[in-house]
Amino acid sequence: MIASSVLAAVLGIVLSVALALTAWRMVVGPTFADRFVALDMLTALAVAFGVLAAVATGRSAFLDVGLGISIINFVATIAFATFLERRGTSE
Amino acid sequence: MRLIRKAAALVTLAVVFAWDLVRSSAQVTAIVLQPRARHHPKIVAVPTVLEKDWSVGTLAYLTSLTPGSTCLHVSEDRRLLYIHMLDAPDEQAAIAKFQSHYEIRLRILER
Amino acid sequence: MIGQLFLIAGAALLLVAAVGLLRLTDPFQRMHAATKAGTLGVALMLIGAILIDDVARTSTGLFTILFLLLTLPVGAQLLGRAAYMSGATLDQIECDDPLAGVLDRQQAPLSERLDGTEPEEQR
Repeated sequence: MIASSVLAAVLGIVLSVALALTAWRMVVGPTFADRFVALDMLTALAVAFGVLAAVATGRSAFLDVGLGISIINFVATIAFATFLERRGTSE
Repeated sequence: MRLIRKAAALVTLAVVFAWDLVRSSAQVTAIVLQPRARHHPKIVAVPTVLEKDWSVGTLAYLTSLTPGSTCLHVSEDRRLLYIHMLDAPDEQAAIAKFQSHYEIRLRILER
Repeated sequence: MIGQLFLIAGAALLLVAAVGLLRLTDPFQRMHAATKAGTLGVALMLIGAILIDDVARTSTGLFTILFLLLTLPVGAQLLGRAAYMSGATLDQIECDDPLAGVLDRQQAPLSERLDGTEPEEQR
């Protein structure tokens, strides 16, 4: 049985590595689709950090933050897909 | 009697799907971590016999939720699903997997 | 204890998703790794947080999981189709593409058509 705060710190480091890899894909990218998949991943990581914060501090308000971020992410995905389909296919 | 069959189909569908979720996550992990790329990404056209809109939609939803397969498009007459698969060395086996895992149970639910 | 195992499994799946995002070779494959494995990892972490009992509010966590699982396939399908139609690079498209002729597909990715530069090196 590990203390929750220690576990959260270790997992935070793991997620930071994932964050760095995702940011690299976002910068390199080559196409818009790649960059947006990376953005999707970034929001997933943001929710994960929220969960870790909730576990470390014991405040469930951080879970609400995760819910809000995931709602925004859904709208953003649909908006971007529409952009790619319109702008991407009309010459 | 019909209600019992439907309930059984629903439960088995949920169990099979949960197991598929675990297994395909493990497969994607293995593909990502293999030292040299040896997988075969491919777009597969999967024919379906489902008739109702909601059952075709559910089939597309279930395939899109599993890692390793995304439904890209459904044809206008709802007879073909175009699924991009991360690793599909054998096209027929992939189609047979979709049919034996999901389609049979959805067909029972549909009636 | 079980909650902590779920947390660790979820974080590991997120790390795998990030590695896959970096290593796989076209946007569609990256979507398999990032969008799906990533979201499932987050769902696992949420389950873990619910099971650890000093994090009280179960309903928010369950609602977030439900929302993630409901919206993930919709987003993935829309994004995949849009990426296909806008001509994003797709491995092994030359040998076999059943979608050819069904959906319009542009010859080059949007970013290359916008600025007319040489195609960047694919990593």
